[in-house]
Amino acid sequence: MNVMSAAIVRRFPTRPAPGRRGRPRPPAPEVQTEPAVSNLRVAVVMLLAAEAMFFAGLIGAYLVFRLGNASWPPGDLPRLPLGVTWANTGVLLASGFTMAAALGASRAGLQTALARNLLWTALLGTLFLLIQGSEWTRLVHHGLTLSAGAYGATFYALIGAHALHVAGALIWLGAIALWTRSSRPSPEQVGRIEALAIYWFFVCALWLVLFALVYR
Amino acid sequence: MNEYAETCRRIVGRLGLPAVLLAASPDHVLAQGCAMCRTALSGPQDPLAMGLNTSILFLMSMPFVLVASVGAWLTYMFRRARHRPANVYLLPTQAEEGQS
Repeated sequence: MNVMSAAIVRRFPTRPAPGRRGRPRPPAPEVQTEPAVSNLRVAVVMLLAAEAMFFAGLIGAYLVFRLGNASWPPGDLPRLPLGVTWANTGVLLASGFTMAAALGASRAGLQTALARNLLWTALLGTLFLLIQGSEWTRLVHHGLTLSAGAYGATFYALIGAHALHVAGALIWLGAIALWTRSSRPSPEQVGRIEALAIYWFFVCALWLVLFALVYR
Repeated sequence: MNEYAETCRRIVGRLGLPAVLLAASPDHVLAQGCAMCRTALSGPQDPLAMGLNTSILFLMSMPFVLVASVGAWLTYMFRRARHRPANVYLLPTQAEEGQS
């Protein structure tokens, strides 16, 4: 039974009513409509609501430390690289566009375009993580470590949690790409790609919030 | 009137009056921080107090924002489903299931 069982309409009684001349009428078929929202979509939205609260907790901690310190960032720690991160933001936003294109291709049943756009999304997501990793290495060499006070701890907690989510989305994307590489996507697979796309858009939108908050 | 709207009206009817009475209550309550906050902060002008206040307000607003967003999305999806032509299909009856 679907979670959105309110959308299921039973128009006919299950028990057959007596027909003419006392003969039992054959049982009428049940009529069912498509649910307004699929279970998978509801599950992904609930997951994202929990993720949003998780990041809200981290952002709350960041706000306490940032507004509670007169000098932020502390003078002895390196500044965050703004130029490269702007470029990296562009990379992640571009991956959002390719994911939207993949979603459109899956709905239209275009298998080749779907595979191509999923590949581009995976490449751009991986590039985003690689640039992040190289920047972190440089920051660690300049003394900004996880134990370098509240500044380092909140920075790595926030941006690291986001990077972990991008990595998780990449694994999910790889599994979807493997499932859909050989044939036209079935309606079930289109639903899975929709769920992945919702998650990917969330990760992209979250990065814009974190970028504006942490790198400003 | 469909069942959904009827249920909403019933809930508002039952909870509306108590909510109005609570909101109109003239009692003043004493606002105070916990012991840790009181000892850690030197006063309302303390930057840490400003940070804590901002963070508390932000965290307090998030559940409301999320519930409102998810509720608005679900309402939109259900209204859209009601207005679009239904993709109705028939489930097999018991007799048909027995034949197959």
